[in-house]
Amino acid sequence: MVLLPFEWSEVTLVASGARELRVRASMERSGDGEALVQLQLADGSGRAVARLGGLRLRQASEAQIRQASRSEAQHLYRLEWRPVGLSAAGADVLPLIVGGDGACAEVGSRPR
Amino acid sequence: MRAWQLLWRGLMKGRPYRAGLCSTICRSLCRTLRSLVAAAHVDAGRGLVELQGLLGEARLNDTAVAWLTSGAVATGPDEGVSGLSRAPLWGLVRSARAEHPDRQLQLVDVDGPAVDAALLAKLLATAAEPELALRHGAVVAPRLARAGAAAGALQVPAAAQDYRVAVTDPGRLTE
Repeated sequence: MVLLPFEWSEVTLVASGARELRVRASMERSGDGEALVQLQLADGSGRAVARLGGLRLRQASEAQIRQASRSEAQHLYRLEWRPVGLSAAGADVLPLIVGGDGACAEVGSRPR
Repeated sequence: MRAWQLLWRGLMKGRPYRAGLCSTICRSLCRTLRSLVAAAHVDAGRGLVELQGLLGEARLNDTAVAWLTSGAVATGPDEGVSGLSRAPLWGLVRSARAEHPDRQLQLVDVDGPAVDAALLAKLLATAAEPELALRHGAVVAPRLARAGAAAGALQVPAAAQDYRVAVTDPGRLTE
């Protein structure tokens, strides 16, 4: 089992240009295979570089990772026309047929 | 075009219009114009004029507008597109819908001229579906579906670590 970075939250960059970065990390595990990491980022002299609300980690097994990297077509989608039901409401109001041609227009312009 | 003129005249007089509008583009022009391209230009041109007129009229902001076509889209791989000259209109209206998300612009495609008025009213009243098609009496709408093995997609070898697709005999890709 390994923990993978899943979600960053409340990330704010405070300063840039630091030549050194000191990171203090602490991890809190929760029962459901997740963990929350607190990170403090500072430059060589201790001034804050970035503020992070947290980094959420999630547990994954080796088999899961292997499968995810293999299933190339897993998130490949296409458009499919599927039957849908129509609501009965509003069926009595036929829109005004403007500029029409063919037999369809004749249906619409029939007196009601 | 008489209905158009009546509608514009009413609007000009300050008469509000609440019901929906529908424009039908179903007649095959290919035979009379003897050219698919020319027919496509006529159909798309008519749609463009209608769209520009509707979108330029603030008093029709809340009016639902539908285009009724026949055979403009294929709802399955084996179906084909009998009314190809109407297909550009679908693209045109889709673009207009993306540019004007506040407007209700609907596309409905039928597979034959025999549409009864009650069903047509029902189709055009389904505001939740911006695109609908009527095929063999059934109403269908486009949905996202996983492109799995059933779609006839090329499958990755399950056991292989690495693989490549190779041409064994150089030639054209179609051979």
